[in-house]
Amino acid sequence: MTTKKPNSRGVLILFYAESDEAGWENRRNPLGTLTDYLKEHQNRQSYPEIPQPGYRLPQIKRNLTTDEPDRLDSRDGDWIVTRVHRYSAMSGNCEWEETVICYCQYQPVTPQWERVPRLEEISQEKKPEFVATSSE
Amino acid sequence: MIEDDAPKKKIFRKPAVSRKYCEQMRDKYNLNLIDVEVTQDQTFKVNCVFYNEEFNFQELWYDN
Repeated sequence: MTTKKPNSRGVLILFYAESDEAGWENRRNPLGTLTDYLKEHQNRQSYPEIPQPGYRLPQIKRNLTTDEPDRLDSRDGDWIVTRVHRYSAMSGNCEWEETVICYCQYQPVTPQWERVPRLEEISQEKKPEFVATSSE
Repeated sequence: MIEDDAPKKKIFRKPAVSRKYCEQMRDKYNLNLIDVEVTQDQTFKVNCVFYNEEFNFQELWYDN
């Protein structure tokens, strides 16, 4: 049985569209050049989960239709991972221990938007209570 | 039969005064930062969006 070694510097996960996928002619970077780059995840977890083929890239958007001033919604997006290539850092002073490139195909699904909760909302049960302790 | 009792992952957001702050929280609490969205909230500038298993949120909650 192999023991999983903790990842000390995390994983940078880059999502790219497969060549000639939907919308390629309109997908440009800030310099105006055509690009297949879609998104990235910056994962500093000790045991980061690497996306596998079939993983749907989450889509996040601002919802301006409600009274909540900075509401965000999320859903399983229209891009699905088809292949995954992993690259390890060559030196000890790299910012990331590993870089992963996930190539994606456009396979749209019916949007099912859900509100993204604030941290305070999902951790209500863990709200700390400060109790004075005496040292003896 | 082995039950899947792995902690559930959640997408959640934490407002922040800068994008740099999102990266600092990412590093300090070993989080998975999946998005940074600009907000029109008067107090904060961005929302840091994380995707993580449930963990001890207490420290992150009070980190401003």
